[in-house]
Amino acid sequence: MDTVLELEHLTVRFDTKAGNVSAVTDLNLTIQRGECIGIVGESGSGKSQTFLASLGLLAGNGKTMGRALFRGQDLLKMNRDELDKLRGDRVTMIFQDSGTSLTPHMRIGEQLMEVLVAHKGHAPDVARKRVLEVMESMRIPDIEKRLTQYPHEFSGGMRQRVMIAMALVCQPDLLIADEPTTALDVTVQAQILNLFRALKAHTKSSIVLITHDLGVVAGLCDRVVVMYGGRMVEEAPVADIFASPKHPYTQGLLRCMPRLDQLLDTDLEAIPGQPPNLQKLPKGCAFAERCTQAIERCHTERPILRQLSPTRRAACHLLDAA
Amino acid sequence: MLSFALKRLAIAVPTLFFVVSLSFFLMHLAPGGPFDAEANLEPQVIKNLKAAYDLDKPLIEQYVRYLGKALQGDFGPSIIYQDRSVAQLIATGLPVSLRIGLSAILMAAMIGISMGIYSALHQNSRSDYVVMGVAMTGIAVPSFVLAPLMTLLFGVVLKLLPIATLEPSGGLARAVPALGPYVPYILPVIALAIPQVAIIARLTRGAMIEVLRQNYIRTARAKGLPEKRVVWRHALQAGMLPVVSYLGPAIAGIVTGAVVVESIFQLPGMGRFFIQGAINRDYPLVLGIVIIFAAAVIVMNLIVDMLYGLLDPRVKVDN
Amino acid sequence: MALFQAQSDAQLALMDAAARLQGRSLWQDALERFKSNKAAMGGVIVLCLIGFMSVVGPMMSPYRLEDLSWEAISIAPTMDNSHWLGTDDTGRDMWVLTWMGARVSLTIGIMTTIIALLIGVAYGATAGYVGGRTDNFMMRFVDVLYALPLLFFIIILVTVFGRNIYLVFVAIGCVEWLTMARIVRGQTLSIKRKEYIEAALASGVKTGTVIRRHVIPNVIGPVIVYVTLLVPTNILVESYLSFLGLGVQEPLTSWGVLISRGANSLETAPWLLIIPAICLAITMFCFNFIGDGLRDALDPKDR
Repeated sequence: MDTVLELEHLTVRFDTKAGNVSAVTDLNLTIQRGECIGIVGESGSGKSQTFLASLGLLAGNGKTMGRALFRGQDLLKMNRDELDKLRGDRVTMIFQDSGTSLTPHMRIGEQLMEVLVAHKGHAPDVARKRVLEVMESMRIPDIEKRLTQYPHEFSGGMRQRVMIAMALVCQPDLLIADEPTTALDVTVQAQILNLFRALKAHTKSSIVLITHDLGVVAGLCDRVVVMYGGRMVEEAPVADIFASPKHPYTQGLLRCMPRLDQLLDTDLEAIPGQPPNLQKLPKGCAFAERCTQAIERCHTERPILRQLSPTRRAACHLLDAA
Repeated sequence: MLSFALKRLAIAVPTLFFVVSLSFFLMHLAPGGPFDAEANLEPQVIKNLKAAYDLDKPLIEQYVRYLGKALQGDFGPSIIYQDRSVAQLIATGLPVSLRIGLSAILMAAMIGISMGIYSALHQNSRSDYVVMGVAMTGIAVPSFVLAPLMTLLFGVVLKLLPIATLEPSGGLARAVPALGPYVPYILPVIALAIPQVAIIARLTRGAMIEVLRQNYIRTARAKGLPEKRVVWRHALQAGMLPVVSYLGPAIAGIVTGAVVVESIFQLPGMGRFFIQGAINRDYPLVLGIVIIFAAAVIVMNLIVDMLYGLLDPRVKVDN
Repeated sequence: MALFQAQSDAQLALMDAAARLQGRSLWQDALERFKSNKAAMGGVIVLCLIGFMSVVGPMMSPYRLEDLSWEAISIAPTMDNSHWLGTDDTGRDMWVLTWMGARVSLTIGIMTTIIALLIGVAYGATAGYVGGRTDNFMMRFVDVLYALPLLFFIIILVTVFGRNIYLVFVAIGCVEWLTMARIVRGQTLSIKRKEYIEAALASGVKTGTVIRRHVIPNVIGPVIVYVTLLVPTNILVESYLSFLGLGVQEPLTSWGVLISRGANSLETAPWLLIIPAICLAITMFCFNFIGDGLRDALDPKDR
């Protein structure tokens, strides 16, 4: 198969006045062509930082180590110009908060067209044609007029469509969507997810879907990676995650989801405790403090990620015992 | 945009009226009059003088008469410059003041904004600290300290620029005759602009840093746009908003600064007439100048408001 | 340290939680941050020193303010005859003059700021608390005043009502309250809309307690910052008036008066300008450093 993105020992750290914060530690991940992969975890699990780091979009105090190979080239070794040739064109990213992620004083049309001007060198009328085409496929009504409007004249769902259109005008090899539906109403969420489904069916782009919501992953992704405390704790094909989650954290996440076959009066479970402090990660498993099944060893020794089957990996001492 | 401008104009007219009224009554309610100092005048002479300046009528009548005349551009005769009307004095002083005031505001905006952007793009580097240190000095050293020091350096010691005259003299005017007419304005304009340069630079830096950490800047970078486009197209316009709102107070600051600077450099501008008039209680002169200054400031603020509307598309919808 | 908002939220939340666990309040945190700011702490120390010298300085010299000496006119700073900072063109001792000037300048800066503070807080809190049309009208009025060169009104006031020092206090204070009113109004408005205020009121906490526990602590931060920036502004305004001969009158003196006199004899006795100008500049620096430090300490997301 054709590998699009390969992360090797990716580590992200922030220097703050209060000390070092390890956002991502030793992450290894491969994304194939045409694949849709879900990255699941709570806030602070490092799921967004992983991809921001790969694209060189970290805050100024962030440091990235390891390698991020995009079709064999290490993104982390590239200078600004080389990186600018790829991002926005071959690799694109959609952000969670569409309200603040579009430039408020520029018309939507210009913000869409500038991508094509920068990467394809299109003349304005050619760029415009392509933009209209993509917006059409995003099911945005009244496109001609919309192009001349400013972001504040759009609804949240419409803005998110614009963001997606912006990420698609150049037909990228890899589209990274960072919580694309989190800030939206449920009905609008469903519309946006449908767009992604259509996108997956009609393009050859690989998609990374970053989310804290396993439900979003279920209907869309081929493979799921679960992250906790900056590390990957489980990786599996989407069906297996729901059928037989291996890591206690994944199991906990699944129990947090409302299910149709559940009795209405049973309470939803929550994972007890707080997310780990990234400045002082424990010596053992980061999840041990909150894990109901933790054993002595979990607090003293960090479990390594082990291959359980050709398609599955997980990091938990309990799996050794089994 | 037009209705926005008209609304602003609708506020501007009563503002001006308010200023005129307040200044008029302040000056006239005060104890003492312009002729008190000349105690040796005959009572009849004082009476005649007062009649000549309308000072013998009831206050309200004086006020109404004054407003009527002022509307026609007649601000009455000056008391201290006895052979000239206030309008004539303003006609000679205004061009001088406008020239240094506008040059100073332009210079302050251009240099201040450039310094601020430079600092914001090199945040926390050594060059950032140097630029901001210079800006801080500009705030801490007022123009009435700078002006004499610059005069000493460039006028007396180096003999490059003329002192206290509008005649083009000094080394620079001789070396570059083409600059001749502008040479006398160089020092006053610099003295006037420096405090504003400093404030605008600090303001720009803060605003640009704030904007550069916005999510939409991250989006622009994720789109693979060159840094130049990110800064100049995506960031700058939003970063200029606080600076543009400051231009109103900056203009007021330049106008008041002009009073000191014109006095120090002995330029025959409005500021010097104002101080002369205020010290000698020349009511018509002071009132006339206050009206012109207030009108100028109000017009400039109107322009600033429109500029703000142009920079921020959201303003149009709100209004 | 330009943290992107979305990225840093999670980290901030964690640090917040950590700070709470250690039982540190917002104010203690702010104090810690302020103390670690070297420029601001330097400002505090130097300013205290200037304040101390303005009280004690004149007594250290063998000369007194009113001692004119025709034998010692315009002496340069020297160690020989106890004229440590030289003398002015009437033979008065500059050391004494400078610290006496400091006394007046600092007093004026503080007094006028108090007046501005009282007017501004009362006006802004009323506008913000009453809201609606009243607020709209009151703030429009402030907008109108904002656009005017208000120093002219001070000049008119001072020339019309005579040049005494108390009038200078009142005139400056009456003009410099506008920004304060805006800040207080904005804070009051935003706090009024906060859920925790509604929650507190709804759960039966007394209005007075709500104001003491929630409103004042939230308004006070920006006000303190602005006060530290207003004091130097007002010192400058007084110097400006004194420079024009409209402020403090002899035999009282202020840095503005000294600078004004110094500017006239710059070629023959430059120290007469330079000494008070340096004092003024240092004071400006100190206040600005402290103001910046306070702002950073009270609003950590700005760093």
